[in-house]
This record gives sequence, structure tokens and C-alpha cells, in this order.
Amino acid sequence: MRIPIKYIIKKISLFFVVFMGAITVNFALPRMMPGNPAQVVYSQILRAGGSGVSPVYLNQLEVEYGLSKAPLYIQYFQYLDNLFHGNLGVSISYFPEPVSTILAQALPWTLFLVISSITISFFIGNHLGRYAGTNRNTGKDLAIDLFSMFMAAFPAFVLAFIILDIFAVYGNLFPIGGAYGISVNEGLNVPFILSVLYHAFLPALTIILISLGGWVLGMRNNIIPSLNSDFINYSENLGFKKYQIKSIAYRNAILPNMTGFAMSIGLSTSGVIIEESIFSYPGVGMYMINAINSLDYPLIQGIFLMVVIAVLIGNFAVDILYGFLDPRIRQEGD
Amino acid sequence: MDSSAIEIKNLNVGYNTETDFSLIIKNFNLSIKKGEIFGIAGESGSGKSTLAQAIYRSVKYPGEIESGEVIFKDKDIMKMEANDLRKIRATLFSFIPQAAMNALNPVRKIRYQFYDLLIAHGILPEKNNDKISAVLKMVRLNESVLDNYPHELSGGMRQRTVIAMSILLNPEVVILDEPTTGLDVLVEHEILKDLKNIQRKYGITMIFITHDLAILYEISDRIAMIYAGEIVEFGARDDMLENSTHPYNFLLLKNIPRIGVKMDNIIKLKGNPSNFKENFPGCQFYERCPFSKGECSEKHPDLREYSNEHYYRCIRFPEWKQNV
Ligand SMILES: Nc1ncnc2c1ncn2[C@@H]1O[C@H](COP(=O)(O)OP(=O)(O)OP(=O)(O)O)[C@@H](O)[C@H]1O
Ligand code: SF4
Ligand SMILES: [Mg+2]
Repeated sequence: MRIPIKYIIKKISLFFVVFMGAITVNFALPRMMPGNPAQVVYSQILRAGGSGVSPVYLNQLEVEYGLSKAPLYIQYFQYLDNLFHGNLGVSISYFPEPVSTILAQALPWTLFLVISSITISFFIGNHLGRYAGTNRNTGKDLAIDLFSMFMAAFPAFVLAFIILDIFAVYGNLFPIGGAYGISVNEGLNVPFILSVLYHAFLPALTIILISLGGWVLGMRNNIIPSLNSDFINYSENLGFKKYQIKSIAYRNAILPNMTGFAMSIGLSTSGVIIEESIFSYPGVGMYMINAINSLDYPLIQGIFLMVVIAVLIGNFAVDILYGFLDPRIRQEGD
Repeated sequence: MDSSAIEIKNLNVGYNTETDFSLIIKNFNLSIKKGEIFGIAGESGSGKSTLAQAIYRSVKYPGEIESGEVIFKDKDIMKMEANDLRKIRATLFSFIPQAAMNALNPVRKIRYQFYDLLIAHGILPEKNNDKISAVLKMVRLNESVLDNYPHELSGGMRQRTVIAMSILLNPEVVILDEPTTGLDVLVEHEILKDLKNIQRKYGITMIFITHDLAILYEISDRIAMIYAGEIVEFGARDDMLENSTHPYNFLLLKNIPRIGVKMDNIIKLKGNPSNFKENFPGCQFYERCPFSKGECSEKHPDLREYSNEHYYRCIRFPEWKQNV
């Protein structure tokens, strides 16, 4: 396959521009907050038991929140410098942990949970949708559609509570929290991996069920016109075999869902916030809720920034992927 | 030996509507001879595509073939097993659809679409690159199109590609449903000239559907004029041209236009085209016919033979001709 270099360069530049925009907003927001957030954070840290912090840290906070007297552009470059060194400040509620350390611990769990559940859901959803669409207006189609609409409309946190209650609290079949059991050693060993899968099962099930409906309905709605398209009719006219025709229809119908796929991985990074806290799953979502509860501004801001980046990367991945999958898009970039 | 390539017998085709079924092609009979170009013309909405799809048994819901036979190689296409029908498609009998420009899979290179076609009929693609080159040459396309996606080609090139795919496996009969609509006139005529050459060279039987009268009379050996889903006149090209027996054909010919002007634009007939009046007992053309008399609204005319293999469906022939 020809690599669409121009297209990729165009998309990378676009990504870079939006990315700079996002981190600039992140820079500007606390500077627009009324009052003295640095003072608030400082006294919270003191209250949270950080009695050892010196007033030097207050100065540092003021710099971070744009309260220093330095000109704005100097502050901006300081902020960028901090950012690219991974310095996102110090968490209040987990004082004295730096925000970056917390994110580094939490993010892998979130990514693991999100990517694996969305992938599974994407796979199942597309196949169900294809099945429903090719058996249009039958009882099976109707059943699948109703189920999908119901699931797509179901509030995620309610489902999370139901699943947690049934399978963990009453059923006792699954753990009620954590990412792995206390008795296993972290590392690439079988008991650890099994424990991780076991702990991820319920939160993953929730995400799969919640996101499934969208894929199903999307696929069904794409494959129906695809099956009636001129090129499918023509393939039939040429005596193509059933499997060939189905694959042509499927290939054309899955393109729009592909866009959704990478994007929803990005979006779900924010979407899992409530689920993770319900399942006490130690991803960014759980930390986000804790941070909000304890007004941990640095941590909230750090997670916010990370979610934005995740969504951006998701979008970027979509663009690139789409460029490879759909020759028509590729050419537009030329 | 039987000299007909296709025999259409008592074909009835229509569309399911919300309340009932509206019959478009009514009790249609026609026999296509081997090796001829049979032209079918009619205004937009007269049922040409419906007829073509029915002959190929590719009518899709809400369309429905109510009854009838289409005999091809001693078999009734309407009664064939799905897989047997699939096997004769493109190998013995091809259909080039009206929207040929959009008939190619947008996300697959032309080469692989040719390969898919070969695979569908159990032929190894790699050994048949020569064959593909040969048909491309026939439709005067450069081999480089094989490495293109459909959107990279012009409309004319796409239509040529579709024609090439349809004749790749040497079918005996090809139905072309307005294969050149949407192209500019010059390209259209080039393609038609090439088609005719191919047809003559390989003795393919072609059923050629158009609503461009100039093209129709230029390319066809025999012609059927259809109106509201019925043949109103048919016969050899020259007979149709010189001795029109039906007012519809006559009026159209009187207005025969410059090349490329479509029938719908030149017809100076009053009234709406082909409005299927299902329960109207008389001649379907009655409201628009300048030669009509009261009797025309009472009795539906049968198809009658005028001279050898020249038929017409008009109660008032030959009287009406004396009035012109
Ligand atoms: N999907 C459909 N549902 C209901 N009626 C239809 C449908 N398609 C066609 N018809 C009816 O059948 C008639 C014939 O349509 P058809 O497409 O065969 O015409 P045509 O002669 O091929 O016209 P054109 O030159 O525009 O291609 C139309 O007048 C229309 O009323
Ligand atoms: S039957 Fe009457 S109305 Fe019909 S074409 Fe002949 S003259 Fe015209
Ligand atoms: Mg048509």
C-alpha cells in the first residue's frame, strides 16, 4: 500500500496545533480563577498533614498558578518547561506524591481497561450489527435492535451498581474492588495475570455492555444501505459468491465505525471515571473522584490534561487509520 | 436450431406499494435473436429498467416478478436454483446496470475487483492477467487503471471498466441498461462505437436499453418501443424508421433530434409521460395521442403484425397515417 505521506504530515501538524491549544487552555484556566488558588492549595496541604511544607512551596505554587509577577510569556515558558519534564505539581490529597507519579500508576490500568473492553465491544458489536442488518426486519434483528437501544440508553453508573451488587456483593463471584489480589506478586507471572483479568472482569463487562449498543446500531445502519448499494447489486449481477458480497458490504460499512473506535478509546478515558470509582478500580477515574472530593486542584488539572490528550490522540489515530482504510480520504490529503 | 438467445414469455413485473401492487410490465412477450443488438427505448419511467432487471432476475424489493418465463439456453431463468443462476452470471449472461458509474466497490483497487470476479467463478486470477489486459484493450483502457481505485477514474473510464468486467468471461448475452447515461456526448458515442465493434467481432447478443433515440437508431438491429410497460411497436430498425405504425414512434421520429438529446426533452407530446393507469380499459397512449378517437378509450389494443416481424399496438392504424 502506498503510504499517504502528505496526508499524514497534514494530520500531524493539525494534531500538533490542537495539542498546543489544549495545553495553553490548561495554562490559562487557573489564571482566570478568582482569588488565590495557590493560597487555598497551600493551606489545604497544611491541613492534609503536610506541616513540613515551607513557604517556599507557596511561592512555587504562585508561579504555577500565574500569581507571580513575572510577565505572562515567561510564565508560559516555565509552564511548558515543567510540563515537558513531567512536572504537574504535587497532589494535595496524596501529599507529597507528585501528580505525575499518581498518573503514571493509574493510567496503565485505565488504558488496559478501556482498550480491552472497547476492543471486545467493538468486535462483538460489529458482528451483531452485521447479523442484524443482513437479517433485516426479522425477529432476530428486532431483538438485537431493542437490546442495543436499551443498553445504549442505560445509565452507566446504574449498570455498574447493578453488576457490582449481583456479581460481587451478593453473588460473591468477583472481587468488589482493586486491580489485582494482595496475595500475588506484580510481574509477568500467571497468578498475577489471572488476578488482573479476574479483577477487571466486572468493570470491563460494564463498559462492554454500555458501549455495545452504539456499535451494533452503527453497523446495522451502515450495512443496510451498503447491502443495497449499486456496487453490491453489481457484484450480484456478476455472480459473486455470498461470502464475497458480504465482505464487500462489511468492509464498506465498517469504515464509519472505525472512526468511532479510536475516538471512543479516547473518550472512554473520561467515561470510565464513574465506573472506576464504583468498582474501586485504581485507574485515573478513581483518582479523579477522590481528587474532586478533596478539592485536589493539581491532581484534577493533571487528569484533565491527560484526558484531553487521550481524546486528541484518539482522534489523531482515527484520522491516520481512516487514511489507510479509505482510499478516497487519502486522496483528499494529496 | 433455435435462433433465439432469450425468450421472454408472459412476463409480469411490478412494485409493492404500501396498499397494493402496481403492475408495471404487463404480459410482456419478446424473443431476442442470437447475435443481434436489440434496442429497447422508452421515456423515463416507462419500465425499461424494471424489464431489464426482470429478465436478469435481479429485481429487488419492493419490485417483484409476479409471473412469466425467461428462457435462456433451454432453461427458465425464473426457475433456476440460486447457485445455478449465480454461475451463469457474467459467464454466459451479463448485466450492465443503469448506474454503471457507481457499480464498482469504492474501497478496492480495480485489479482486485477483476480478481474477485475470477475467483467467484472458480478461475485462478494470477494466470489470467492476459485475459484482463485483453478486455481492457477492447474497451480502450490503459492497463494502469488496474492499480487505481474507482474514484481515481473518470466517469467514462469507470463505465468502460464495468463493461470490461461484464465481458471478461465471454458471455453470450449482455443486457445494457443505459450504460452511458451521465457521460458527455462524445465519450458516450465513443463507448457505443466500441461496444458495437466488440459485439460484431464476438457475436455477442446485446439487449440495449436507452432513452436516446439517436443512439437507439444508430446502434440497433431491431427495436422495441415501450410505453407504460408495454411494447407499442417493434420491428427491424429500417422498418421502424421508415414505416412507423404507432403514433408514438412516429411523433418521436418526426422530432428526431441532434445526437445526444434525450427523448424526454424532445417529445412535444401533451400530457404526462407513461402514467400507469391501471384500470383504464383503452389505449395507454390515449390522453397524449393526437390521432385518438373515442374508440381508443374503450378497448385496449392488441399487438398486431403489420408486415414480416413488424408489430404495433394501435387500433387506428393505418387510418391515423392518412391524417398526417
Ligand atoms: N422502487 C420502486 N418502487 C415503486 N415503484 C417503482 C420503483 N422503481 C420504479 N417504480 C415504478 O416503475 C416505473 C418504471 O420504472 P423504471 O425504473 O423501470 O423506468 P425506466 O424506464 O428505467 O426509467 P429511466 O429512463 O428513468 O431509467 C416507474 O414509473 C415507477 O413508477
Ligand atoms: S390506439 Fe388510438 S390512442 Fe392509441 S395510439 Fe392508436 S390512435 Fe393513438
Ligand atoms: Mg432505467
